Amino acid sequence: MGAKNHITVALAGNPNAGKTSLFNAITGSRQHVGNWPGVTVEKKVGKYTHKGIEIEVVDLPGTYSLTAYSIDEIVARDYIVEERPDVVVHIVDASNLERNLYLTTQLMELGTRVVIALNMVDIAEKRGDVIDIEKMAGFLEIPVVRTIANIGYGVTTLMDEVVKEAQKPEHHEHEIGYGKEIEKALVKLESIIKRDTHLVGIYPLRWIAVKLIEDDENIKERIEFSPVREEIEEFLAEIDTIDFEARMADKRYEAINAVLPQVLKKGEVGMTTSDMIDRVLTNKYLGIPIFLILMWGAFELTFTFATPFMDIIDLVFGHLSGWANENIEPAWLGSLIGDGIFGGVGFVLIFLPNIFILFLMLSFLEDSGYMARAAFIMDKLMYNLGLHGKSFIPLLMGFGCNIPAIMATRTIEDEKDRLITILVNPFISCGARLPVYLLLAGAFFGGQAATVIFFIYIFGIVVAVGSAKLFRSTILPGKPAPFIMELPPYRLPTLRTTVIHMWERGSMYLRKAGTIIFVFAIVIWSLSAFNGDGYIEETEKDIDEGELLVGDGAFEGKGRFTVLEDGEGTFTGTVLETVELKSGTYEKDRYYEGIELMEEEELHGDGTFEGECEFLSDEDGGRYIGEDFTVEESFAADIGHGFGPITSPLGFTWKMNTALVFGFVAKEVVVGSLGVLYGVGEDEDRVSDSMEDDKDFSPLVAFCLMLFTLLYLPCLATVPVIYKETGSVKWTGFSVGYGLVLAWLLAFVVYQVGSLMGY
Amino acid sequence: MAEIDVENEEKMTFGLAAGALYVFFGILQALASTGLVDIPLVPGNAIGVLVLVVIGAVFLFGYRELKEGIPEGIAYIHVGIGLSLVFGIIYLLVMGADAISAYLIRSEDFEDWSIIDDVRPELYLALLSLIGLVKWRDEFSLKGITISGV
Amino acid sequence: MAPVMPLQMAPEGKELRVTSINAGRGLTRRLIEMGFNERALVKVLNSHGRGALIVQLNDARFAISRGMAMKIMVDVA
Repeated sequence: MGAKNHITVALAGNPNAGKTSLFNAITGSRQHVGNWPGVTVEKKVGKYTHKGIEIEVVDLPGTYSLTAYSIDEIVARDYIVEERPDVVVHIVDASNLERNLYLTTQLMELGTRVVIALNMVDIAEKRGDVIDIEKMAGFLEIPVVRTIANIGYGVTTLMDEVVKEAQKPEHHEHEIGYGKEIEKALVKLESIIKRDTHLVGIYPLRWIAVKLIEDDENIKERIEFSPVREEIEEFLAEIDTIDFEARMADKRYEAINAVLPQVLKKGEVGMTTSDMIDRVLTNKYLGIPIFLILMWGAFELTFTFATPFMDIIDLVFGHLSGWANENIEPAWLGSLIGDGIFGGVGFVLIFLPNIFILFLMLSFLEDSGYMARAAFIMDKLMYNLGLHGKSFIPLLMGFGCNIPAIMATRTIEDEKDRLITILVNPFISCGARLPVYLLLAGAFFGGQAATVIFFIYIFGIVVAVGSAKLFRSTILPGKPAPFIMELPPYRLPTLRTTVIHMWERGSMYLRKAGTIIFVFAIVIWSLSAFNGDGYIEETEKDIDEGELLVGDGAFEGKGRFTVLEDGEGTFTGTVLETVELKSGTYEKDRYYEGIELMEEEELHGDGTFEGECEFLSDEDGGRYIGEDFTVEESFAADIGHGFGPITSPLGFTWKMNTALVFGFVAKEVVVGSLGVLYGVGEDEDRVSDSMEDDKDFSPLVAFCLMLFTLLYLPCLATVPVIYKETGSVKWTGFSVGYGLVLAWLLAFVVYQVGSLMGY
Repeated sequence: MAEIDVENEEKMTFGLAAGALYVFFGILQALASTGLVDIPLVPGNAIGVLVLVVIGAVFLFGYRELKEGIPEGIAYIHVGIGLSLVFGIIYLLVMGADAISAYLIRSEDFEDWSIIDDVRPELYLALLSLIGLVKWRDEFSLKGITISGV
Repeated sequence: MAPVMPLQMAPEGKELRVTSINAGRGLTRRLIEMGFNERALVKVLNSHGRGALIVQLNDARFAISRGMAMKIMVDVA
C-alpha cells in the first residue's frame, strides 16, 4: 500500500479542552462552516497541507463520551463510526486527565486510529504537574503530543504523528477487560450480532455488544430491522444490563486509574486563579450586581458606541437612494433601485454595527468563561420562573436578535426546557423592534416616551415569563430539569478567536436576514408601487374633507398647506384665514399670486400650490395631482383593507395593518412601511408629524400598535430558525399562532378598556 | 512570607481607598441624578450609580477580607481593578464614538457636544486602577496560576 | 463510617467522596462520563442561598442545580 496523499482527520474531545483553538491553529483561516446534514449542529471543516500531504480537518462537537446523549454527541459519534476518518485527534485537557481519558477508552473500543493532543500542558505544568508522555503513549499504545493550542505550540509535531499514524496499514483494537461475567455476555452477544452481515460492515462487533448492554438508543434503532433483533432482545432481557453497565464504567475508570499514577505526578492542588475569580464573581451578594453592571456595559457599547457607525451607513444609503431616484430612468426603475433596493438593504445594514458589537460582547463573555457563571448566578431566579439556568443566556441574547438566541438554546439538554425557552424567546424585545417604539412613543407620548418604551420592554419580559409558567402548567407540564454544566476556567480570550467567533455568528445574520429582507424589500416596494393597472406613476385624486396628503404636486380647492422643505412652495389663490408669515401678512378672502412659503409655514387657502407640501382639505372639492402619493391605490392598500375587519376592534387602520403585515419580514420594517404609507419616506420627524395629524391615530392606538408589534409574530427570519431548532411544524405553527392570538387579545383589551375610560 | 504580607497590606490600603472613592462618587452621581444639583464632571445617570457602587463594594469586600487576614481577599482587589478598567475602556470608546458623531458626521444631536460632556467618574476613577494594574502587572495573567500570596 | 448525604447538604470546602448516584439510567451514565464515578473525590466550593452549587472534581468545576445535587450521594472522605 502506497503512502496516502490525502487524509481526513477528526478532532474530538471534551467541551472546553481547547478543540476550537487547536482547529484554528491547524487550519488558520481556511475553514468552512456549514451544518451537519439534518441537524443544526455546526460543522467546521478546514484544509491544511502538511509536507505535501493534503489533510482535511473536521472539528467535531465537544463530547464527554460516545453515548448518544445529545445531538452533539450523536453527530460526533456517527462521524467517527460511519465516515471512518483516517485519524482521530483526541484533544485531552492535561489539567483534567482522568475524566478526559474516559473518552479515550471509548475511542479505543471503537478501534479508530487515535493521536492524543495533550493540550494546555502549560497550565498543568505551571501548577507543578509532571506528565510523562512517553509512558502515557506506551501504556495507551497511542501517540501522545504536547500542545498549547492557543499559541500554536506543538501543532507541527502533532501533524507529523497524524501523518505517520495514517500510514499505518492497520490499527490495533485496544480492549478493556470487563471481568469474566460481562466478557462472557459480550462474546455471546457478538456471536449473535455476527449473523447480521449488514451490521458487521458498519461497526466493530464488540462495540455494538457494549453499546447494547448500555441500552444505547441510537444502536437500538439500528438493530430495529435486523434479522437477529429478537434474539438480541431475548438475551438482553436475561442479564441485568443496569448492573453490567455500572460495572463496565467502573472498569474503565479502574483501567484509567491503573495508568494514571504512573504517568502523572500531581502538583499541589490549591485554589486556582479561576477559583479566586469565582469567589468574587459568584459571591452571594456581589454575583448578581456584578452581572447586571457587566450587561449594562455590554449594552452601552452595543447601542451608544454603535451610533456613529449606524449614522454613517444611513447617510451613505440615503445618498445612494436619493441619487437613484433622481438619475435613473424610467422612474419606476429609479424607484425600485432607490427605494426598494437601497432603501431595503440599507435598512438591514444600519443594524449591522449593533449586531456585530453585540456578538463581539457575547463572544468575549463566552470565550472568557463568564457566560457559564451567568447561568449559575441566575439559576435560582430562572428556576422560580419555570425556566432553566441555561435558559438565561438565550433570553438575554434575545434582546439583540432572536435568531442567535434561539440557536443558543442548543446547550439545554432537556427537550421541554429547550422548547419553552424557544417559544418564549420571541417575546423578548429584539433590537429591531426598538425603532418602532422610538417612532410611536416619540410621536404620541412626548416626554413620557422613555417610560413607555421601558414599560413595553418590561411587558415583553412579563409575557415571556408568564407564558413559560403557563406552558409549564398546561402543554409542557413538569419542573425544569436538573442540570449540570462544566464551568470552564477563566481565560483572557485572544482577539483573534473572539473575532472569528463573532464573525461566524454575525455573518450568519448578514446572510440569513440579508437575503430574506433584500427579497422582501423588493416585494414590499412592488406591492406599494403597483396596482392592477401597473406602475402607479402620478396620482390624480379627489380629496375628502379632513383627509391628509403629503406630496410634491399641485392641489386645487379649499385646504391647508404646510410646506415641508425650505422655500420650495409657491401659492396662488384666495386666502381663507388671515395669517402672519415671515414674508408678510395675508388677509382673509384676498387673492394673491406666487406667495413663497418657508419651511413649516402654514396657510389656509383656496387655490393652487406647487412644491413639497402637506395638504389637508377643509371641505369637499379638493383635488390633488402629483407624485409620492401612490400607496393608497396600490396592492399594499388592498392588503391593509383586507385585514380591516380583524383589526378594527383594536383601533388599527389599513395603513397600520399594511405596516404590520410587512413588519412580519422584520419588525423594523414597520417604521419604513409607515413612512411609505404616509408618503413621506423614512424621515422620522415627518412620519410622526403626519401620524399626529391622522385623526384615527391616538396615543391609545399607538400604544396598542406597540404592544401588537412586540408580540404578534416572530419575524420572517426567526420562523425558519424556530422550525429548524424544534424540528416540528406543529411547534413552529404554535409559536406563530400563540403570538398572534396573544397580541390580538391584549391589544383588544387595552384598546377597549382604554376607549371606555375615554383615552 | 513577610514580603507578601507587605504587598497584601498595600492591596488592603488600595482596596479601601478605591472602594471609598467609588462609593463616594456613586453617592455624588445619585445626587446628580435627582436633577436637583449640578456637579461638575459627574453627569446624572441612575445606572451609573449602580456601576460605581458595585465596583466600590467589590473593593471594600476585598479590604474587609484582607483586614480579617484572609489572603484570598486580594481576588476582590484584582477583580475590582479589572471591572474598573473595563468600564474605563467602555466610556473611552463611547467618548470616541460621540466625538465621531460631533466632528465627523456633524449629527444634529451633537451640535453642542464637547468632550467634557463625556467625562464621567467611571472614566477618571479607572486611572487609579491603571496604577494598580501597572504596579501589580505580573499578577494579571489568566494563562498561568499566578495569584501570589496563596 | 461517615454519614451519607446528598451533595446538596454537604458542607462547603470539605473533601467528599461520591458513594452513589440516585438517578435514572441516562443521567447516571452522564454523570459518570463527566467524572462523577463512585469513589470520585469532590468538593463543594460555593453553596449559598437556594440556587445551584459550584463543585470541584479534580481540576474541573461544575455548576450543579439543586435538583441534580440531591441525586448525588456523598460522604466525607
